[in-house]
Amino acid sequence: MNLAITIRPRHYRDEAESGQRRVIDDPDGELVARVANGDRTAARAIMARHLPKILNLGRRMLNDHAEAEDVAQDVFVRVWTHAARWQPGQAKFETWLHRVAINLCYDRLRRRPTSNIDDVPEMADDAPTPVARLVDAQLAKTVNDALQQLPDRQREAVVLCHYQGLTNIDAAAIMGVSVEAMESLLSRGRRTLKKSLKPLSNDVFNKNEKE
Amino acid sequence: MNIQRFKTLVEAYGANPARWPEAERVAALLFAEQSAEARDMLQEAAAFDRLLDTAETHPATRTLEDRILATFPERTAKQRAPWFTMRWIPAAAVACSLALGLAVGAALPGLAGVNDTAVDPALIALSGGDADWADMGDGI
Repeated sequence: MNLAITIRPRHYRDEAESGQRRVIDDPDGELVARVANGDRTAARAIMARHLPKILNLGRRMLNDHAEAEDVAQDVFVRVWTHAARWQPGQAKFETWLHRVAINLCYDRLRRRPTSNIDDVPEMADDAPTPVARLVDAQLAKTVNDALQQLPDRQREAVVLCHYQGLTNIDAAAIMGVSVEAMESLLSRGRRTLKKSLKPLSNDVFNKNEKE
Repeated sequence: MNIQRFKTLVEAYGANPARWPEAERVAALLFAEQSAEARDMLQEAAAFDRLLDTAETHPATRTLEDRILATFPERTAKQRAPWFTMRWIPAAAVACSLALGLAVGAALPGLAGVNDTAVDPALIALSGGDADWADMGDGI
C-alpha cells in the first residue's frame, strides 16, 4: 500500500515548481503534530473529527458495517504510527486519511470472490417499490443498494465527491487518476444511479414538489 | 463556459456549486444566471442530489471510539519532553534555594549580634561604587 503522502501544518510554506510560494491550509496539521508527540487528547480530537466520515466511507465501499469498523480502526492505527514520522509535504491530512481508507477497502474487496472492480454489472431498471409505501429507512436502503450495484471505481468516485465532499483534485489524487478520468467515472456513476433509481426518483421529485 | 461544459459539470458533480471544480465555479454560476436551460438542469440535478442524500449514514458508536482509542500507544520515554525542558525544575530550584536560605538563617542566630555598621572594605570594592547598572551592559 502506498502511504507516501506527507502532510503539513497550516502555516507551512514551500517553493512550488513555478517558483511561487503557496500555502497548504491544513486544519489538522497542529493536531497531527500533537498526536505524533503522544498526546492522547489530540488523538481523541482527531478521531472525533474524522471517524464518522471514514466509517461511512467504509460502509459505502464495503456494504458491511463490521468490516467498515475494522477499516476505520486500521486507518487510525496507521495515523498513530505515521504521525510520529510526520513531515511537511504535498497533501492535506484528510486526503491522506481517505487514501489510506480507500486502499484498505480495496484490500478487502479484492479478497472477496465476487469483487466487481473491472466489471460493469447490468442494472435492474424495473420493479421498484412505490416510494409512497417506503418509510425513510427503506428509501435509504434502496439508494444504498443502488450504490452497491455500481462498479467499484464509479462508486469510489461518487462516494469521495458526493458523500465525502472532497474536491475533484483531492478525489482524483486519492484514486490515482487524472481529474478528467475521475470526472468521467463520477459522471458515469451518477448516470447509472439515476437509471437504476429513476422510478423512485420520479416519485421523490413529485413528492418534493408537492411539499 | 458553455452549455455543453455546464451539462458535463452538473452531470458529474450535481447541483451543489460547492462540489464543482473551484476553477470553474464562478463561471458556471454566472452561466446559470443567464441560461434557462442551465437552470432546468440544476433543478433536476438538485432533486437527484436529494435522493442520493437519503442514503444510509452510520454514526460511530462510543464502543468503536473506545476500541480505536485503545490502540493509541502509550507515550514512550523518547516521546516525553527532555528533563531540561520540564517547567517544574526551575520552580523547584527557586523553592529549594529559598528553603535553604531560611534554614541557614535560622541555624546561625549569632549573626544577629554582628555590628551592622562594620562593612568589609572588600565588599565596597566589589559593589562597584557609584557605577550605574546600565554601564555594565556596555561592550556586551
